[in-house]
Amino acid sequence: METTQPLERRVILAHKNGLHLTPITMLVQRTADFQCDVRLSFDGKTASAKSAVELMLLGATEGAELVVQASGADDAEAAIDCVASVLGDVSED
Amino acid sequence: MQVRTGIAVSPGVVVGPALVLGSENFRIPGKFLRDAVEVELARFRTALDHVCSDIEEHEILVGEQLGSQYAAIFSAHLQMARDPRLISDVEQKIQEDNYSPEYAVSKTLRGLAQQMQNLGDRYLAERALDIFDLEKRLLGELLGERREELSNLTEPVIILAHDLTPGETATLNTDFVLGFATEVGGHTSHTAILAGALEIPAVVGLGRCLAGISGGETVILDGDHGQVVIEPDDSTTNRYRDSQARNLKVSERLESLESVESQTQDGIRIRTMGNIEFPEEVRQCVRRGADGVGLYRTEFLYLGRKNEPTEEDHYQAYRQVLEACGDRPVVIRTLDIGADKVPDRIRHRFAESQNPMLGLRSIRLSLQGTPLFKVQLRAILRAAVYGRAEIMFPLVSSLLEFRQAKMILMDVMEDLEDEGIEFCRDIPVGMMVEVPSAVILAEEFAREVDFFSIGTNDLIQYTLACDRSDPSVANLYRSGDPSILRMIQMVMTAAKKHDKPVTVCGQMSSDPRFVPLLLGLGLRKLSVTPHSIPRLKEVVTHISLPEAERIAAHACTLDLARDVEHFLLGELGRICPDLVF
Repeated sequence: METTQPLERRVILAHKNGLHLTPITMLVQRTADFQCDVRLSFDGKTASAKSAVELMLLGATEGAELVVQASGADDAEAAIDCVASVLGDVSED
Repeated sequence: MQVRTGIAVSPGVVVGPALVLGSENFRIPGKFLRDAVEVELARFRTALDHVCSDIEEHEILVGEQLGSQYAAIFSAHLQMARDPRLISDVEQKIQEDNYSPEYAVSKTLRGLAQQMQNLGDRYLAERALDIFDLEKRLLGELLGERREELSNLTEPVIILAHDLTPGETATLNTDFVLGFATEVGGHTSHTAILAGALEIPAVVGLGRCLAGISGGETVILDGDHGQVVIEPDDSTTNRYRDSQARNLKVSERLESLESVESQTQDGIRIRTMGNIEFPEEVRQCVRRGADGVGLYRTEFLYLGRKNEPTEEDHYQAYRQVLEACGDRPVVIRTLDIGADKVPDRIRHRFAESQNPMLGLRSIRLSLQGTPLFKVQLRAILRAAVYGRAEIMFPLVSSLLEFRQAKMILMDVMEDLEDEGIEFCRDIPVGMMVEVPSAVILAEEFAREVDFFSIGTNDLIQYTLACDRSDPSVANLYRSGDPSILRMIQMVMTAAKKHDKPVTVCGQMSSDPRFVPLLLGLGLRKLSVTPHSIPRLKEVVTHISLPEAERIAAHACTLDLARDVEHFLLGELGRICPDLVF
C-alpha cells in the first residue's frame, strides 16, 4: 500500500559543523534500505537523503531548519524518524 | 562563453581545443557522436565498478591495519562513487548529449566540485578534492592505456594548467602546442620567459578557473592582451579570426625588416639586441638582424638538471653563443637565480626565507657560494676568446657588492694565468640596475662600471613594492609609473656624465609603446625578446630623435601611470598604426 500524501517534518540541524561528512554518511547508509523516497529541503534546495553529493550541496549549517519529506512507500514514517534522529543527534558527530 | 583575464607573457593569438592538465596530466577526449551509446554506457559502468571495488579493497585493508575510523574515509568515498545523482548525471550526458564517458565524467564531476567550492564553506570546498580524486580514478580506468603524456601529442592543442614547471614548458612540443595558459605565475616567472623563448602565445596568472573545464572545449588564447576565452560565441570567434589575419600580415611585413639597419629617420643608430635563455636562441637573434645579445640569462644551465653544471658545460654554451654572434657583443649575466626560479638542488637554502624576493638571491648567492660563481666566471673568461663577451652582475645593491664581485673576477683571472689557460683579459664588466639603491647611487656606480643595463622588471617591482604575480596588487605594477621614468632619467644623467653606455633589457623595451620614450630619454641600446626585434625596428625606423625627445619630455610632465601609458599609446598609434590594436 502506498501513502498518497507525503509525510513531512521540520528538523533543526544539531551538528556543530553543519551537514558534513559524518551525518551525511549516516543518512545515506541508514536510508538506503527504506523503500520510500526521502528528501530534505533547505534554503530553496532539495536533496535526496540517498545522495551524499546532493546533501553536501544543500550547504546546511548548524541550527538550520530542514524540511524532511518521505513518500511512495509505507515505511515513510519510519524513514522520517530515522532522518530526524540522525540530524538531531550529535552524539556521533 | 567564459572570458578570463591574466597576465600576457608571450604575444600572439591562437584558437584551438583545450587540453587541461591535472596533476596527473590526463588528456580527455572531447565530446563526439557515437552510434554505440550502449557500448559507451557499459564502459562507464565497468569503470565505475572497478573504482568501487578498488575503494572497497582499500577500506578493508585500512580498516584491518589502522582501525575503523580511518576506513570511514573510504566509505565516504564509496558513497560518493555510488551516488545516484552523480551516476544519473553522467549517464544522461552519455545518452542524451552523446558525450564520451571520459568527457561526461569530467564535466559532471568538475561541475559538482565547482558548486561545492562555491558554497562558501571551507570544509565542503575541501570535499571538492574528493570529487577530483574520484574523477582521477574514473578517468584512469576509462583511459587505461590511452593516457597520454605531454610529449606524445598528435594534434594541435592549447594547454590549460594550474601551473607548468620550467622543465615541462621547455619540453613542450611546439608542433602541437599552440599556446598555454596557467592559473598561477607572474610576468617574470621562468615559465613565462620560456614561453617567449619558444615563441608561443602564453597567458599566466588567470586565477582559479580550471574546475569547470574538462578539455576539448574551443579556446581562444590571446597572448597580446592576456585573455583566454573558453567556448567563445560566433561573433567573438570571428572578431579574433579577423585580428589574427591582420596580425599575420603585419608580422610578415615586419619580419622583412630583418636586414634593415635600425636607425632613426634622422640617422641615429639604435642598437637592437636580443635577450636569450638558451644558446640555440642566438640563431633567432641573428636571423632577425639583432646587433648582438644584450642579455644572456645563464640560469638555464642550472635548471632541470641533477648535478651542478661543470665549467665545461658553461664554457661550451657560452662559446656557442659567442661564435654565432661573431663581432657583435654578447652580454653574459652571471647567475640570477631568484626566489621564483630556484632549482631543487639548492632550494633548502631558500626554505627559511619569509620574503624570498628580498632574500638570498642573484649576486648575493654568487658572493656567498664563491665556488659556484668562480666556475661560471672561469668559463666566461675562457669562452670570451671566441667573440665579444661582456660580463654583467645582476641585482647589485651596494658598491661593496660590485667591488667584491670584481675582486673575485680578478682572482679568477689570476688563477687562469697561473694555470696557463687561454682567456680574455679585456672584458667589459657592467651591472644590472634593478634595485632603487643602485639608481640613487648611479653617479658613484658610473665611475666604476663599464656599462649599465636597466632591468625594468625587478626595478619596477622593488620601486613600487609590488609583486606582479600577486593578482590582488598586480595593477600597481606599471612600467609607465612616473617614478620609473624618473629612475631611468637618473641613470641616464649619471651615465652620460661618466660616458658609460646604458641598455634597457626588461619587458619595458619589448613593449613598443615605450620605445619612443626610451629613445627620448637618451637610450641608444635596447635589448628585447628575439621575436620583438622586428617591432622594435619598426618603431625606431619611423621616428626622429627630436620627436622622441618631445614625447619623452611630455611624458615626464604627467603624474599618473595611466596618463603616461595612454599618452604613449596615442603617440605610437600616430607613428606606427600597425602596432596598435
